Amino acid sequence: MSRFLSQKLRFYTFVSIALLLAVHGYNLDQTYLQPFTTVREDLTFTTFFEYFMANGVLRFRIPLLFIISGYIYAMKDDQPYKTLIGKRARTLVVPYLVWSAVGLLITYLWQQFPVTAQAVLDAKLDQMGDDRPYREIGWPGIFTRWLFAPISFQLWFILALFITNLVYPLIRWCLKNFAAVWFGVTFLMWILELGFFVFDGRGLFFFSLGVWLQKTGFNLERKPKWLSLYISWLLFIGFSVIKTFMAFELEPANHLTFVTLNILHDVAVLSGILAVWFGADRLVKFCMRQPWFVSLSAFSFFIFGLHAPLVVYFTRLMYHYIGDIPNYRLITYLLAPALVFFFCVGIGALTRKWLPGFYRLATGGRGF
Amino acid sequence: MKKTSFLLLWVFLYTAVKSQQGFTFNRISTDDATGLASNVVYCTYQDKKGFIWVGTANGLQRFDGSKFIQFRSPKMSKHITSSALTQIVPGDSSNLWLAFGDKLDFGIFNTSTLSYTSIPVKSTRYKRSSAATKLWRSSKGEIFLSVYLFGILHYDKKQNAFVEDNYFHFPEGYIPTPGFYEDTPTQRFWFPCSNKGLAVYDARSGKTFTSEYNPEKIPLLDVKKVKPATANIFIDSRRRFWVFNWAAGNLKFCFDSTGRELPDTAGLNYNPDYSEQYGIFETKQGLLWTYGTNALYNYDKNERRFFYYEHGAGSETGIQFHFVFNIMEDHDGSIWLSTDNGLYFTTPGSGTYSVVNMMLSPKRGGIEFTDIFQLKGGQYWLSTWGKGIVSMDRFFHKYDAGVYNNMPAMSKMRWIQFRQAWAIYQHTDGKVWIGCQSGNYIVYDTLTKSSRFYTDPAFDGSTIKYITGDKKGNIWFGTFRGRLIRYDGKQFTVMQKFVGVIDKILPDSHGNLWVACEGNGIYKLDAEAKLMIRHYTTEGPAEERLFQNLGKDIEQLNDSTIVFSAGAINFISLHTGKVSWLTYEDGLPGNSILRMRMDKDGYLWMITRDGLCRYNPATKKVTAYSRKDGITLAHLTTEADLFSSDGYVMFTGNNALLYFKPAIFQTRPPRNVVITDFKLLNNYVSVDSLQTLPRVQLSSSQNTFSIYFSSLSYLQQEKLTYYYKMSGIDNDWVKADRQNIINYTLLQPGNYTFSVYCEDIDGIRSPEITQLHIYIKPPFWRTYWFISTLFFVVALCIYAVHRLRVNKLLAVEKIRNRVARDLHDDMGSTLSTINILSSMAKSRIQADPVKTTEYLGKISDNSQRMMEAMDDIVWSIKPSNDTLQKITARMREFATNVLEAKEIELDFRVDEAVYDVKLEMEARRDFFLVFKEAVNNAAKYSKASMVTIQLGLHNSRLVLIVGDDGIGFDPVTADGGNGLGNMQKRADAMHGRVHIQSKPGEGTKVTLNIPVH
Repeated sequence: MSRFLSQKLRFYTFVSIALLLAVHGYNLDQTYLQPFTTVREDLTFTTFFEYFMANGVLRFRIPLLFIISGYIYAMKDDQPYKTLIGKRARTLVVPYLVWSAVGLLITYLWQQFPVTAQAVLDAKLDQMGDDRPYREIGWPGIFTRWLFAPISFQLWFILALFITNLVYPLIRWCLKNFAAVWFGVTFLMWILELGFFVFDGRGLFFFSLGVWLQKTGFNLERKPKWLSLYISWLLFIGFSVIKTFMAFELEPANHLTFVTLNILHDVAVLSGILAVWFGADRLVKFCMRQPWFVSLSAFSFFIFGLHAPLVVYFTRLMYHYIGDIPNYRLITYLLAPALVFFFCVGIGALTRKWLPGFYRLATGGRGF
Repeated sequence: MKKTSFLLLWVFLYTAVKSQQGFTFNRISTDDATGLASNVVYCTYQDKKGFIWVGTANGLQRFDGSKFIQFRSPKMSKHITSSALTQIVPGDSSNLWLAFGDKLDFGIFNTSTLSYTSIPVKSTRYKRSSAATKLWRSSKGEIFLSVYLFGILHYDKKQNAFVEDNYFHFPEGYIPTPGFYEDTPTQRFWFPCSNKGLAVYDARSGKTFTSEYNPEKIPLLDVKKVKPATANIFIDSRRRFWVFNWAAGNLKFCFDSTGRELPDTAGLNYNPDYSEQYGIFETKQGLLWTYGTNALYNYDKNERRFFYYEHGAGSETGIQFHFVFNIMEDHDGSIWLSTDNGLYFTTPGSGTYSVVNMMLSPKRGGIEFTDIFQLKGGQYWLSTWGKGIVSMDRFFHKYDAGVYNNMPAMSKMRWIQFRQAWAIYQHTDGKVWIGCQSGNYIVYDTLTKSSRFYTDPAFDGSTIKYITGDKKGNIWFGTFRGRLIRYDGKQFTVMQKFVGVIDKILPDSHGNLWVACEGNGIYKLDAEAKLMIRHYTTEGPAEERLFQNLGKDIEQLNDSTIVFSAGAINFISLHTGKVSWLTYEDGLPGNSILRMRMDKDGYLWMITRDGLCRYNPATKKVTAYSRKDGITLAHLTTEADLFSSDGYVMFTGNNALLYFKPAIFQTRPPRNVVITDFKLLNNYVSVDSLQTLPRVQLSSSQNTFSIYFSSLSYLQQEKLTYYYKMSGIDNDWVKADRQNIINYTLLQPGNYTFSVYCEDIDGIRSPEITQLHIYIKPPFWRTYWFISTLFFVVALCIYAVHRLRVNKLLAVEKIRNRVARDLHDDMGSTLSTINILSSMAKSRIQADPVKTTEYLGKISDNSQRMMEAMDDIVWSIKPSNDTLQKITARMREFATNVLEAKEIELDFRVDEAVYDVKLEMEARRDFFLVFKEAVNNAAKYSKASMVTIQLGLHNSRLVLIVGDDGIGFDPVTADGGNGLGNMQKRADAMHGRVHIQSKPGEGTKVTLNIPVH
């Protein structure tokens, strides 16, 4: 791997994770976003901007992370399966358990004070739908949440990644023998958001794509001749804008709306990946030349693990304090993710310095 | 004789009073503008929102307090008929069960979708006939259909039909009539079964008990009176069993739970007409009604008897009918009667507990009541003009107080004058003073129950109009001739002589006396009435003028205000002496206040010529009460008033007594406003379905609509004021008119929120603001998504134009490069050769002429070749040569020239279809050069006598075959040379194939196959 490709991978891993905050800071009435989610609020600058960001232009991040993961994993697949999986268990499963516990602890602490407890209640983050204080829920409930329904809801990604890693030999075999069929099936799984067994339909296609790109030696450093950056950016931004307007203006709970929004979403994601990956080389080079940026990017995984549910709780807390000023939702949307970002970086730096063992455990050794 | 006649008078009065007491009914009919479809109303049902669903002879209607909506047009409801709708039974969620009794059609009406589904009967025994049916719902939600002389069918959800499953396990021969009763507390169903008597189904045990099988020893099953021809049974909240049967006419029985017959059916059998009673209804307050053909009774708890309602023409209660089909109680407690003469409703409560409108004689104007007074013992005494004193106990039971028992002998005239009583007052010593005609008065001793009859010269023979007392124990008298007389316990003293009848004397809380003198305004006197402090009339300073001089009643509103009824209400400030008015313009029903009385809460109740009204000092607003509130005789009760110790406000006057407890009119917050209808253009849209949506979505063309609303409180309806606001249109709340409809036309696309609330007369608002969110979609060309899509397309077009331009530039560059390359490759090298040859020829022209000639020949050949190449370059660039016709012409010309020189015969064939093909410049040149190479090879090496050239089009591919009959060669061993290699390269450039087929001695065949579009 060339130095520049290595920089690119690191840059986009960090950027994708940092942008997660902006997605999870989304604070319109209906916070759970799906590709086809419509908005039942008036179209204002705030609502447009938040939806455009969180369910539009920032939707490329998870697929891109899966591609990067697949690419990197494929580079090391000459090692024995057991060794690989053992490593992945240390770098994914252990962090999953650590960050799930951290999420529970944060929530528990917030539940101890009336104002923050109300923020937790308002956030309605519990995946089991029971937002009572953990004291009332008891240990069995807490244990269930720790293992299966983490309050740090973003952890689904590393769990899905680990499972994808587990079946890597199958993916590789399929790519070697039936690449077109495999891509066809996983592509359908992605656009239909399907999953079977433990496969997560949202990531398999992109993980496989990463593997395929590595195995075929696809040049990821230079824009392919067939690719028009102009078209990529146009589709990416244009479809995100159109989709955002449609989310406000089309009839909700309508089959046609569902299909239209899904198509726009998928095209925007695909074109977004291409546009962002091949269209920002100068930015990548510039940023990776900056020591501060390189330092920040070392905390990618720490930010990933810690940011949720904090960003949602912060959002609700800000509502409590600035809820009566104009445009408080937009202000919150801009400030809460930024505050949480720097909070995570700060805590990450302190942990790495004072508790390197825990830091290594929690990040799977990333960021040293 | 006198005693006898007096007793007879009492009997008459008692009967008269009793026969006129009761509810007053308000009628809704087809004559109103409300839209009732038929005066024959079979049933009513109020849903949870408050709408009243009405079954009429012409189908289903819904009433919102101001109008009826008909559900029969195909646009509004599917398949529902406009036949006689005899029953409405609530179903699940938004469903109503309907029974079209005449058509024997039963089904489910969905109020959200406005669709009706007829439910069939699946029974081999059941035959559609005109037998009476009853659709009903058990407390568990099961739906049943009772059919007279048939039995009970049960609605089976799975089969979506009524089935005969003997749900209640009736023994053989027991056929229940529709007059059953479900006793919810005991979970028992009581069924009258024609001639078999009662059958009781116990839901807990699943057993059915009869007189033949009565292990539970249910007393009523063994009562013989119940057995024959029992038609109806009802159990009231006091656990009384009411049984109607037809053993010998329509007999009514009442039993307690032990089976002991009770005498509570008193009054039920009274009916001057033929009657049938088949319905019993009990209100939430426990008031019983029975009804049927020519029958309407309600049970008076106070009198322990049923009260019969006259229902013929001229009925005092305002109800006329032949049949009462159904009774329903709405959420406000009003009673709704479905009759064959319209829909009637009446105010809540019973005649004893709410508003009583009492006519004291069947003859209007028969008894003139002049005053009413409550004695310390709670008894009510009413003075009459000509009939003496009418006395009632605190429960309004009349009794003989014996006022006239010990009358001494006197002249006939005086005897009459003592019965022409005008005023009653009980002194603190317990004695009752009764002012009579011509200065006569009676003093009744409540201890000895005897009267003394007096006449005093102080009255100067003038009728005593008013009597009252002050805090000092003085008794004050006002006479017709304007004398104000004080009795201090010892003697009568004339204190003032006014002009006109003294209607009222009021000692105020400051000790002053206020005297209303007919036609002369009001006087304010000191406590002794010696000094006139002020005389208020229509004269004087503007701020001290009365509305009019003619006034009758005075009340003290509070410590600082005296109220005088002189036309309008005149408020006289005790502090400033100033007068202010409350008139018709300020909300008074009319400027004709006749009587006033304060209640304990400080409300001022008033009788005007326009009826009863109430003044709320806190809000300074007046509420009028009318027939709808149960007030029917207010216009007659203009003579006297009272606020009793039992809390009754009482007015009396011409043959009428009106009394009520003000609490019955206690202001309750109005119900929330309900959006009753949404009319889009001219079509009603189902409101039920609209309200399930977070917002009403309308297309851009649906921007004209009407919103109907109502609080659905039928009692308060006319006392409510509605305020609405449409966000985006109205900046502030707008007061709605009486129609409760707001029309919006041609609204711009966008989001709107229609908000509405109501306010009663005291300014109390409905608890919540009702909102309806409306979104009018813009036309698609005005949506942001469409506009952004346009921008997107424009950006794509710009890119396409840019790409086109770049491609053209690239194409030109490519041509220029090729021409340059060709010129360099073909011309450059040949010209160099010519240059060298010509130099060599020039240097040897003298020394070696043969060589020079050879050089010149080579120069000539090269020149010739160069000319041909140049010709080829120019030919290939020229756009006019793009057609196959030009190409084939050139091919033919070339082949002819080359082969003729070698004396080889040429066969050149071209398919017609080929001429439609167009080749681009590059392809044309490559194609021609391949051809040229093949022909040249045939001419140079084949030694053929015949060359065949074929050009055709097969499956969108251009096929060129150049064949010869020459010596051929072995393609495997042959040296390809540049020629064959070039042919292959050029074929590849055209995405085609070139195939050479040859064998030594068998000629050669070159085939070029290229795709064309």
